Amino acid sequence: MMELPPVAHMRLAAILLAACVAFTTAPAASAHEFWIEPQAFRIEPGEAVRGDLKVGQNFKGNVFPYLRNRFVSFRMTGRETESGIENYDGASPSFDLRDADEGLVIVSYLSTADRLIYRDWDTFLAYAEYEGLQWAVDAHRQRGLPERDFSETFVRCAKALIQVGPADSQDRDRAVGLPLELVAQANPYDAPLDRLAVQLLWQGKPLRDIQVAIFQKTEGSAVVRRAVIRTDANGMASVPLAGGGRFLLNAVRLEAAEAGSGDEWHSHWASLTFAVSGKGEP
Amino acid sequence: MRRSLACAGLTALACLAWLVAPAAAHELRPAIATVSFDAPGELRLELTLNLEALVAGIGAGHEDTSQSANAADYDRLRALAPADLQATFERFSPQLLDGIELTLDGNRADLQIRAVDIPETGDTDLARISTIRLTAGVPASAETLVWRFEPSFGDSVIRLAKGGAADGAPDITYAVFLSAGVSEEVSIQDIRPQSVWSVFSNYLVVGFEHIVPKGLDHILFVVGLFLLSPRLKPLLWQVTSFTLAHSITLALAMAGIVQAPPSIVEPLIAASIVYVAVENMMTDRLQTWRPVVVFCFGLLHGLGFAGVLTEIGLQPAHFISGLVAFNLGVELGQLTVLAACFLFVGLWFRSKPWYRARISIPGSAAIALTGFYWFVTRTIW
Repeated sequence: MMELPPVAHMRLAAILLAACVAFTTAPAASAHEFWIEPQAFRIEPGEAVRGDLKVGQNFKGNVFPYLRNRFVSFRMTGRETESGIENYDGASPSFDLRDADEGLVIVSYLSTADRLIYRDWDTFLAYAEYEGLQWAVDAHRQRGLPERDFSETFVRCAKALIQVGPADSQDRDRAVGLPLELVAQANPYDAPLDRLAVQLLWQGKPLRDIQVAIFQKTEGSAVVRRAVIRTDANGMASVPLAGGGRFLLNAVRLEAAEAGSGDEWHSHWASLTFAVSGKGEP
Repeated sequence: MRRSLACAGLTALACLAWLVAPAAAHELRPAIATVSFDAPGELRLELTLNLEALVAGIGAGHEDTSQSANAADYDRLRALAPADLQATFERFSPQLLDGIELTLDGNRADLQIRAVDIPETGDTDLARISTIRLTAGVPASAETLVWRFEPSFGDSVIRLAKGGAADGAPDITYAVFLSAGVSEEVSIQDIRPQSVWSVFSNYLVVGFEHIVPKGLDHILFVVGLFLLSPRLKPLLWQVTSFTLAHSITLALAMAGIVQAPPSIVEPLIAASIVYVAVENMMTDRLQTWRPVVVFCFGLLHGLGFAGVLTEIGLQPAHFISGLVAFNLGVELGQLTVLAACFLFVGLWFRSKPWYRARISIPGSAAIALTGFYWFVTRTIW
């Protein structure tokens, strides 16, 4: 596609944002986000990089323990080193690492595929609505699929950004090889930012026109705010950071399941968690 | 452009909405069963799980509570206060006890529910994770364990924990995820607390082996004591003062009261061997200073023994019995060396007129040379 100058990118992002931000309703029962929740997003060198896998809705989740047979990879990527995360089955916190590099540390998790069964059509409708996948409703009908008791397999691709020691603008998030991956375009722990650009990659290439849900939990408040934006032609989305706090970004890529798999749909769920100091806070 | 950005920002803020609580739909997670053997004769099983899902029979084959035919039941239980959920659970508990099985050496343990910890109702958007605590008697001879979790209850993780961790975090020695319901046969010997007698006999053997066959330097020192004189009295004096001295420093060093680095202790032990052997060549009388000197050397050897025992480790719970057993093992090792000396040499030759010229002096010379060689190598190292 045509290369856009940076200003045009920002304008496009702004227009897309304005067009796509919408009031959101309660999520359908089946839609579960999956994310990595560090106990602290900023730590001092030598402190443990420690946290949990969480599964739930609206940035509120239950601990998902470390279970070897549930993931394909669970890694910590530092400035210089990359290592698999070892623990015992059933452990929580599921990661507790003392040997992290200084700088920006990326914890990433790629699950094995799981299956979900839609008992009724309404559940699927609500899911498509909530995740910005309305096209799938028509596609489902066009494919002549049953409207109840059909299934979707899903793969979870979670990432968290943790800052060890002082932040450095040279320290950047980067693609760590998840099939569907959100990549922050700046270090959120560096200079205060009003917005954070993120790029959504599918198999390493920008993925356009996908909804990115933004969940924000400001410090000292139990309330979670949710907004949605869509990626632009270059897979970019601009996340407003006003108010700061903890952020969870979530994007879903849905596709028809392979013929003969016995399932109707197959999805990948990308999540990215990070924190931002609020305005006026140190 | 600036205007459009500002406009977008305002729109975004305006559109952020408070969310209404969604209907409960909780992804299922495996029950986590942790077995420990903290108290003698007793086994503890801690079962951490979604109690409502268990009681409602959501069970296997569902990723999510809302997918089960019993979803409404689940939601009702999830909303209950802890006391009400506990009452419901008590009616269900025979089924639980039927469905879980711990088999020790082929015999099913008689599990009893001791307590159920149910958190406050809290936020029903989240699943509630409760803990059921059970106990069962364990025969002292039990060596292996097999875990079975009724497949219709769902997946489980069976873990073995070594008890007594000071910070409360379990020291997990084994953990396996199970969806088939039955675990392999797992050895529990490493995690059971040791009996006083088994600790005692273990350290007794360690102490003995540290002299015979591992402690050639200590053996030569004791042989050096033996070679001084063919008579019993000088030997008794020396051995008694040596034993007394090394028992004192061993205990003091293990209690952390005295400390000496091996780089100093080890060459001095070698030097002590040279000293007793050289003195043997110069006199066969028990000089008044000899027991005193041997006592001082004994203090050194005790520090050497402490180095070994520190490497092996002494659990705080077994400090005294382990220390006494180790020391006793060392004494038995020494007595074995002396008995061998007497049987193979003393018994036959001690009254011969040439005993000193042909046995004591050449033997001592060889010991002195070996001791000197050790002294040099241990100093350089």
